[in-house]
Order: sequence, then C-alpha cells, then structure tokens
Amino acid sequence: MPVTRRSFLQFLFYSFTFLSTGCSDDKAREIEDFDINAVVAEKTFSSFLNVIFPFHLPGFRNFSHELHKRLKRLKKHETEVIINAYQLFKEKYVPFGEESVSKGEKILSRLLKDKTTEEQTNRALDIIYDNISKLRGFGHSLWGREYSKAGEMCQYWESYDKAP
Amino acid sequence: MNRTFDICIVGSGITGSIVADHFLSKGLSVVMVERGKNAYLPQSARELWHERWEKISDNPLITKNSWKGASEYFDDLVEIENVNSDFAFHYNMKYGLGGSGAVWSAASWRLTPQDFQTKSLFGYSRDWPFTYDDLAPYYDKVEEMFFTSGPKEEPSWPWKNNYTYPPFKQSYLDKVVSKIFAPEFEILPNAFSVKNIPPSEGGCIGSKTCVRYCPTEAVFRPQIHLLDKHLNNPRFNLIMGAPCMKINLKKERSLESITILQDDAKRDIRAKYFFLAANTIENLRILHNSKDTGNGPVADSSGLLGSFFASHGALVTSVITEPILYTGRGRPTTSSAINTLNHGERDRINAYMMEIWNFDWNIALSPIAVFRTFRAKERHWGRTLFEKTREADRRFAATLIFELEMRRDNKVTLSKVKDKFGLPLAKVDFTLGLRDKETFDYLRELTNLIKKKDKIVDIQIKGYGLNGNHPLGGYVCGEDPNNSVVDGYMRSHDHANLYILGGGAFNSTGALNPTHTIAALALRAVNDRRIVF
Ligand SMILES: Cc1cc2nc3c(=O)[nH]c(=O)nc-3n(C[C@H](O)[C@H](O)[C@H](O)COP(=O)(O)OP(=O)(O)OC[C@H]3O[C@@H](n4cnc5c(N)ncnc54)[C@H](O)[C@@H]3O)c2cc1C
Repeated sequence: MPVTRRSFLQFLFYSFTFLSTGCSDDKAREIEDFDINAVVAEKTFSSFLNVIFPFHLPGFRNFSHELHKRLKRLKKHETEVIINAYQLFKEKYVPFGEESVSKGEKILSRLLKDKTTEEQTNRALDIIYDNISKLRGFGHSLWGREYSKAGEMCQYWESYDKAP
Repeated sequence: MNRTFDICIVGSGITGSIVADHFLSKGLSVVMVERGKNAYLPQSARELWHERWEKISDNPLITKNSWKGASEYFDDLVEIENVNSDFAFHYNMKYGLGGSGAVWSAASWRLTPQDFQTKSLFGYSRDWPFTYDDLAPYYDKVEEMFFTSGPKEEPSWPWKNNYTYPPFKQSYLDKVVSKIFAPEFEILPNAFSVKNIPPSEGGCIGSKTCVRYCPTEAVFRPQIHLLDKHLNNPRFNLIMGAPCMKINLKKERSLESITILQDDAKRDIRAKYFFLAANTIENLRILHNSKDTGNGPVADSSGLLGSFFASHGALVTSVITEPILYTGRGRPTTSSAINTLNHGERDRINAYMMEIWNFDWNIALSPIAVFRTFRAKERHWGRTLFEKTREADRRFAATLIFELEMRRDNKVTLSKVKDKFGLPLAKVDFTLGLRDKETFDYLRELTNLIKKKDKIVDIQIKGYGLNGNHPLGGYVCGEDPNNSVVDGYMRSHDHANLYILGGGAFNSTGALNPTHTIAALALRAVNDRRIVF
C-alpha cells in the first residue's frame, strides 16, 4: 500500500514513541505497510533522486535505474528513513506548479536547514549516497576515466606521465 | 645466561638491521632485541596515510598514535607526552620487526653540503663534526644497499648521486604543476628507495599504498631486505616482544649489559659492543632510564642528553588548478621542488622544500572515496557533491617541509607516566624559535603567491605542525665531549662500547627526509676502526 499523508504522520509520531517505549505488534504492522516498490515507481521519486544526484546528466542515466533496484532491496529500517524524507520533500514539491531540479534543490535545502527535519533528511541522504557509491562503474563515470584501486597495479603504469 | 655476544643491538629498524647485517656478514655473534613483534602488515590497504591521535590519560597532552585496524597489526603503539601543545610532536614510530622502516614511504634524500655547516655559514643550529664530503661515500653505499632510484645529476641539486636505478617518470600532474609553479619552484624527480625495474621482476607497480603495504616488495624494508637472509644464521639471536628497559655499566663506565623484559621476566644480555637503534626518542628513554656511575643518566656527562631536539616543520596545503590533472596515476608522489634548499635568505629563514603528491590526500585517493569523504565530512549533497568530486581530479596536495632550528631548550625528558612495561614515557618540550616562526610566516606568504598564479583556482592550508616521523637531535654529535653526546662515529663520549644510532645524532635538521643520512651515519658507525675483536 502506498504511503498516505496520514500514515506518514502516524509514523513520525510512532517512531518517536518507539524510541522511548518500544514497538507494539500493531504499530510494527503499520510500518510494514510502507511500500518501497510503489514509492520508487513514482515520477516524483525520480525527481527527488535527480536532486540528490544529477542522474539526468549524460553518462549517469543508467545509474538511476540501478539505484532503484538497490533501494528496493534495502533493509526495512533504511527504507523507512528514505520514505520519510521523501514524503517531506514530496509534500512541498508536488502541489505547487512545475517540477524542476532547482525547485527540488530549494526544498531539499530547506529541509536540511530546518532543525525538525534536518537529521532525518541527512540520514536518508547518507543511505542513498552510500548506495550510489556502490553502483558498479559509478567511480569511473565520476571522473570520466578509469582509476586505480589501492593495493593494485596502477591502471596507467605505462603512461601516467601523459593525459589519458 | 652468561653468554657474552660480540654485538648487542636494541631495535630491528633501519639502523639496527644495517648493524646486524654488517657484523653477521663478518662472522660475529649478534643479539638483536626488539620490543615489538613480527606483526605486519595489512594484506589489503584499508587505511593508507592518516594517523589518528588519541588521548590516553587525564593529561590531554599525552597521546597515542593509531590508525584504522592498527591493533590487528601492532601489539603496542607509541605513547608520548607533549609539554607544548601548539606545535605538538605526535611521534609516529612503529614497534615491530623493521620498525618505522616497515612503513616508511622511502623518499631518499641526502642532506645538502650546507646543512652540515649551518652554524658557521648562517649562524644557527650546530655544525656537524664532519663535512658532506666525509659522509658522501656512505651515502653512495646506502643508495646501493637500498636500491635507490633517482636522477644521477640535476643542475640545481647541490650534490651528485650514485643511484642504482634511474628515477621514476614524473607524472602528468607533476608536469602541469611544474609549469604553473615556475619560476619560483623548480619541480624535479624525487629519489626513492624503491626498485624502478619492470613489475615482472619485482619492481614498483604504482599501487598507491606503498607507505603501508607494497604488494611487490619493491620498497626497501629492513626486515625483508637486510634481516631475512640472516634468520637461519646460528650466530644471530633475534629476541622479539622484549623491550630493553635499561643499560648496565661496569665500574670503568663501559657497558656490561642491557636489561630486557622477556615473558614478564627481567633478563640481562651481555655483549662487547652495544648499538642503541631504537629510534631517536626510544633511545633517549632507555638512556634517561639508566644510571651512570655518578647516578645521572647514561651518556650524559655533557648535560645535553635530550637537548637540541627537533623535527621537520610541515605545512600541508590543498591546491586546485584550472586544468584537469588526472590525479592518482603513477606513484603517490614522484616530484618535489628542491631549488629552495639553499636559497639566498638562509641567514634569516630556514631551508624548505615542497613535496608534490599525485592526489589530494586531504580528501581521498579515488573518485568513490572522494565522493564519500565530501558527503561524510562536509555534508555536501546534490550538484555540489557531484561537482566537488569532479573537481578532485584537479586537486593535489603540496606539502611544504621546512627545517627547524636545533635549540638547546627544546628537549626530551622522561614523563611521570609509565607504559605497560613500566618504562616512563618520553616528554617532549618544544617551542618554535624566532627563525622557525619567520620561516613559517614566510611559507604562509608563499601560499598567497601560489594563489595568485595563473591557472590556480585555490590553495587551502590544511594543517601544520611537527613531522611525527622525523625525530631529530637529542644526542647531538661533536668532537667536544662537553658539548655533544656522541662523537662523529656515533660513539658515546662517556662509554667506549656504546654507539647511539638514529636521527638523534643530527646537528641540523635540513629540510629533507632524514633516513638516508640516518643510514649513512649507521654505516659510518659500524666502520669505526675502534671496534676491534
Ligand atoms: C609513516 C612513515 C613514513 C616515513 N617516510 C619516510 C620517507 O619517505 N623518507 C625518510 O627519509 N624517512 C621516512 N620515515 C622515517 C624513517 O622511517 C625513519 O627515519 C627510520 O626508520 C629510522 O630508523 P631507526 O632505525 O632509527 O628507527 P626505526 O626504524 O623506527 O626502528 C626502531 C626499532 O626499535 C624498536 N624499539 C623501540 N624501543 C625499543 C625498546 N625499548 N626495546 C627494544 N626495541 C625497541 C622499535 O620497535 C623499532 O623496531 C618515515 C616514517 C614513518 C613512520
């Protein structure tokens, strides 16, 4: 079931109380209702990811697809963190006019500056960036060339004195 | 045990191994006592350069070095007390077979001829009791023994060399930086004790991890390249995991034995000649902890034991250029600016040089690591995180290494705090002198000059302080027993069968990595004609 605004607010409340009181079976079931597959399929979620990393740039488009796959396989507690942050983002993003990266950036920036949302947003970003950095071939694309791994032979040992 | 060995060596690092190799090759009996164990090194290089410093007692100035995973490889890590915290010395010596030589990055410089005479030429530090030319034949031997790679002759080098192998190619980054930094900095290939032969023959492969771990053993390591061949020699006794606690004298003040701790029990080891090769500060700890006949420390009739302590100053910068540098290719570093060693203002400011690194190790070594670092440390996100990561391909670390004046007031004594064996920690009391401060200010100004250069986007000072790898002075050498601790052959003026090796015998720091000189001094010591059997 997709996350509704109500269930999301409930989650915020519960997650806070769980920290101090522990989690009853009923409440645990509600959290399981978060459906990462449905969230990832949303168009706005792709926009959210594009704000987090410019996947729309040439050379990076395929990575967003790979990232979706990875996010779908995350552990439950990580999924929750991401969905929560995404909901905060989406609330501000969708209702007012056109979608755009710069608009998304402003919203994310505000979430990161606001004391009530900062920690939660950063936690979600950390999980997403950790997963981005594990995407195969991502490192090479970042610098647009092969790079040498620590402890192994330099990729450019014969020609490191020249531009690649 | 009543056996008397010909030679007793404390420490199995670079100097200890040179001594062992020399006397074993002559058929003499050698006992080597090593505090650490044969516990090296990561098979994968998870942590490469960065040392962390942990507070270990209520005294905030008592620190212990560590690096990620260190406890897996070392059973023991160096602790030290600093009296002055503003320019603290975070001693980085490693206990274990090979000592610091098991992790050194093998930049292999000679000191300049002027470095041996700074007092008479420029009025600071101390003159050495011999000249560059006297030491040059030993430098030649070290270069052979350490299979050093480097250029034989460079017009602006103040010396000639006898390197075994040609220099490593300068990286593309070095060449670009060279153009940008000219004419103030002349960037030339470094010398390294690393085999520059094809990888298939055991040469360097540019793995970027050689400080901690060289997959091909192309870096000179004392335990591998000097000790290994003697391990089955019945005349060689290697005792590991056994700290030397003190030195014991006979009535006529020559050394009779050392006391070690082995399996929690004290044991005395007797020999004809003793070589302290435990690295500068550890040598001083042992000497300070031992009693001479007059009850003062051993080897201290001059009252100078521990005095004239110094290291190199270091100013670490991060530089961003307009052109892409394609960082992280080749060796971690291949070039330095060394035209600054004998600069015209040495009567006012100290010598300095600049090491060029082929990546910005203030951030990380690979795009993924850079990406992670910018996220974790600076909390960047989105386009900024992406652009910063891209920008890292235009960044490198430039480290300004500078000479420090050796001054009597800067000294190493014993702390009240003891280590786990009951040996008092070393206490370092160090302040910058006037010249040092002026040099430091001058170098900070120099970074402003670099900032204004064409094609430089930014230069940031990332840190500065005393180099923890290069402890120098503390048992200065000289001909006059009232004004020095050891003579020109590193023999104690007070005790005829005691040689004290390592950087502690330096009379000026120079601005170049010291180990080639430390090794040359060790070779000079073992060739002292007064050693007779
Ligand atoms: C990370 C790093 C990088 C470096 N890179 C360079 C470089 O590029 N170029 C350069 O010129 N220099 C470099 N150095 C410095 C170089 O390693 C030292 O100058 C050199 O190893 C000193 O040799 P040594 O024999 O005096 O001491 P070490 O090699 O440190 O050996 C001392 C030995 O004594 C043992 N010991 C200590 N106390 C006792 C005791 N009480 N009883 C018994 N044994 C004891 C220790 O365990 C150790 O094995 C580097 C050092 C480090 C740490």
